[in-house]
Amino acid sequence: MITLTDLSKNYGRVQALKSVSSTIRSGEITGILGPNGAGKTTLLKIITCFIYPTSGSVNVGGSSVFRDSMRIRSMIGYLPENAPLYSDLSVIDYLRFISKIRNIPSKMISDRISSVSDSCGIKSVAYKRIDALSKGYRQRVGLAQALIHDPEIIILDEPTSGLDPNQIMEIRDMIKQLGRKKTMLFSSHILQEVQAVCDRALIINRGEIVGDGDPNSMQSESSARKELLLTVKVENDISKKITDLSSVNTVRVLKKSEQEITYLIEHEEDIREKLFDLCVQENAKIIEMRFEKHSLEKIFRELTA
Amino acid sequence: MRSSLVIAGKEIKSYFATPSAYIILVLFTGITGWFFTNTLFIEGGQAEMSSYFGLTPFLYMFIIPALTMRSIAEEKKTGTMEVMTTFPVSALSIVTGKFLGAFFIVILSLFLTFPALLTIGILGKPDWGIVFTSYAGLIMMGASFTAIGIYCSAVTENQMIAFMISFFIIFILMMLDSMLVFLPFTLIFDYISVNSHYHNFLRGIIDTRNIVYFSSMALLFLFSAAKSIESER
Repeated sequence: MITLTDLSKNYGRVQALKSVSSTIRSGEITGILGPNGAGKTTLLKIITCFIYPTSGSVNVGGSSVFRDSMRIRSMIGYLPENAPLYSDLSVIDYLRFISKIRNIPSKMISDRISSVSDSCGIKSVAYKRIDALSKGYRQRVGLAQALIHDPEIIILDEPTSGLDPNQIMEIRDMIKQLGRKKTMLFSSHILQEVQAVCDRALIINRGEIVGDGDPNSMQSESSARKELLLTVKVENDISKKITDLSSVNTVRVLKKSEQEITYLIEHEEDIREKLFDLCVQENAKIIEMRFEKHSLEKIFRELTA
Repeated sequence: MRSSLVIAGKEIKSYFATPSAYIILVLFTGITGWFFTNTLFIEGGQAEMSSYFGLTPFLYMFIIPALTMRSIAEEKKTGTMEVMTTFPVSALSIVTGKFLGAFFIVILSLFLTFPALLTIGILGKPDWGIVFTSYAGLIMMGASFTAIGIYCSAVTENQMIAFMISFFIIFILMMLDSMLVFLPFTLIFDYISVNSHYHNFLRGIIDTRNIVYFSSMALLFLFSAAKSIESER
């Protein structure tokens, strides 16, 4: 478990984090979501003991980053953004180096290397020099580095940035699999990713937590304010008539082609039946009618505007 | 200490994975070898290596900064330092590992001068005591210069700047004794100057004051490098 209390970090005059408090529970995949420059990386760097907070405290599994950072460091596996690696070593030499510095007993080193190489899919490139690897493989080697000592907590900073769609899917699957057993914390500015992978999303903007919760429930809460999407085949615009219906707040024309018009209707009560009757009356053929579910993207934009 | 050795091992591997170590070793043995053989037959038939021991400190002034400039600066630039500092390893262990790695190359370069030793051993009767103490002096000096280089590499992300600063510090330390007439507090500057300590070794004297000087210089710069890494957190 990771507890953040009143955490602030200043870089000179710039305040990267403003008294952030939260608790990250064990055995969950937590996604830290925010636009670029929101403070995601700073937060992760503090938890991994790379930098100290200006004020406030971080407690990881009962140890403080100030007093017991060596213990925290041995509990955490960390992959910084862009997977920095020693490009002049081969993959296997690199992993051997990491194992030794992570104090893995020498008898177990080859077992651990072969197990993480398997799970990260880097067996085939084990003897290649790292600077000869593609971005996707480099990311996987970085991930292997973070997993080699079988840490309780895994922290990944933008693990999918710069990868192609297939590689992104692979890394996401890996995160999901690992998240079943470990505490997983990763940052991203991609909403669908957090939605697809995380049990919980922390939305950060300008150094503050502006949203916290299950990404799926965040979504349904937000759609409490109902919006209906209606596409009809009609000759004349019927938006005026729709506005006249009771409990309709606003009507917007989203798309208009020669025959079809798409309306976005904001309303209070369920108006689907009334709308159906109106369409019949106006000889408008309904092509599509559905509730507009708020995507996380919209919530994100609302929260970080 | 264990993690320092692991880091040193990795450093040595990296030095030999790129041409840098080879270039430095070839340059060093080439230049010293040339000066050694150049004077070997013309100077009154003496079996001695003074040209070699006089030249090496000047080569150190270029070669050691070139060797150490990337060791921490590059890691900072590429971000691997971030990974390194999140391992359960102290900044001092990292710095010590980096130092040992580079120092190994310095020792190796001295070791590669053995043909000169063989030559004077076969051709004449050198004073082995002086040869031995001179090598000891070079090793001590190499250690303190390497520590200076590591420190300069720790304070910047830019290899070129690291090179320039360490070159400058070493240059000042080497030139200090010839500038003493212009300086106040002569005793202090004389003590700081490298040459006044190194010359004792060349005369065959092993004095604890000189050993203390070189080792405290090395320790000072290594601790400062560790402090500099710590302070960035």
